[in-house]
Amino acid sequence: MAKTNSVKMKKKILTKVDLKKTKTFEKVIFFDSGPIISLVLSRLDWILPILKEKFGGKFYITPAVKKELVERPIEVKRFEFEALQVMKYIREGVFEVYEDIPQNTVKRLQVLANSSFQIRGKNMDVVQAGEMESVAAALKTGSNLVVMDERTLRLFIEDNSEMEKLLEMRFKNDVVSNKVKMNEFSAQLKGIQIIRSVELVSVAYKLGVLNSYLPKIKGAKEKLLDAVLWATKTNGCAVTEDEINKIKELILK
Amino acid sequence: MIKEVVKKDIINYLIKTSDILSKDGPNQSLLLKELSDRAIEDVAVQKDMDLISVTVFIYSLGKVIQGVSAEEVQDLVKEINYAIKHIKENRLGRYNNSIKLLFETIRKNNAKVQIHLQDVLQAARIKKGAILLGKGLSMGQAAGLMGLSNWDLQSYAGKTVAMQFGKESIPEEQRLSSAFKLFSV
Repeated sequence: MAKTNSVKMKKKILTKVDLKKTKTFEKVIFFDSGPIISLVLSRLDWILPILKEKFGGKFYITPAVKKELVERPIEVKRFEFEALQVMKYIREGVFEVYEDIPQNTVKRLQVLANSSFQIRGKNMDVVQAGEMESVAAALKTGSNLVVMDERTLRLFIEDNSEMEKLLEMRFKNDVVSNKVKMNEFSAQLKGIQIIRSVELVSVAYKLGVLNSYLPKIKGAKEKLLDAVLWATKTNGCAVTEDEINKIKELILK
Repeated sequence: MIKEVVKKDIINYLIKTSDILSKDGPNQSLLLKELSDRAIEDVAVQKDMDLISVTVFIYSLGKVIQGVSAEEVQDLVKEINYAIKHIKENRLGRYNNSIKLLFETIRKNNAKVQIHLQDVLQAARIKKGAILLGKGLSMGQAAGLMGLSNWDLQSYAGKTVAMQFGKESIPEEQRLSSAFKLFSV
């Protein structure tokens, strides 16, 4: 009897370990809508399939991100073709739609974020539920990797005191912060690792994927790197000029 | 039903708009723009569609005011005052009608504006959305409030300073190094 229990227990432990292994070994990155918009508008979206292959895992988007990338712009003449471009990537499997969104976590995080600051006695809604989906799903899968160009949520996740300073500055000290909620939000998202489209473009550059664009001029490499980084920035990636200079310094050294 | 606090804001902004229009001068356009910038702060706090509508109206009026005749300005002032009266008396159907007429007054009486009105209103939403971003709202939140897609707002805001705020807590070396590791560079 004791032996049977021991075998059962071992099986149970093994199953748990296997599950953990499966979770750990599934390489997954979640994409927010921002970086895909930045890359499409910069005409650099073609690097995505190459990066995916190099990554050797899955590129996921959530249903809310798909809605923002495809379902809304397909109805707007100005962005109809961009929507078709993203649809093609989904069709070809570059992006997969992750349907199993932990809605309770999304809701909890959204409530925490949007009750962290009050302005004139009213909660300040700084983020939307849809934006929280990628982060919550990344937490759920254990991948913890998110590509996000949007600055507000990134700032909130990485350094909530900066978020507080920003709101105080922009609303002229009318802001009352709820430190408990702010810190609870940050603590729950502590493990999340964020990169931006500008880093994806840097990876592509470093891999030589962009070499066909090298002009036949002096300082060609710097010109190309500068061009793609600024294209990404001006199409919506929240990156500072100092950071762009730093990337150039690090890559070109 | 419009919340009392929002109602007060709307009345306040409509009175100020009426004042600006009543005093003829070269600065009307600038004054209306400044007024709409103040109103957008309340939009960020209240998240109310009626307030958004008034803010967009004030901003787009500032954009077209130079092409509007004195007679048309008088019509606008009259209608704004009706709107104020209706909202004060909680006659919301009539208030909404007045707001609709305010947009239509411009549309009907100015051929130049008639052609471009849609663009002016869309531009107003995008510009005000960028200001909300600058105030610290997320892309989705700012776009959602102004009835825009993220594509509209992001393609505009990326070319402005709206998204430049806050210090980066993670040094670029670290972020870039993480990215390189992820892709085995």
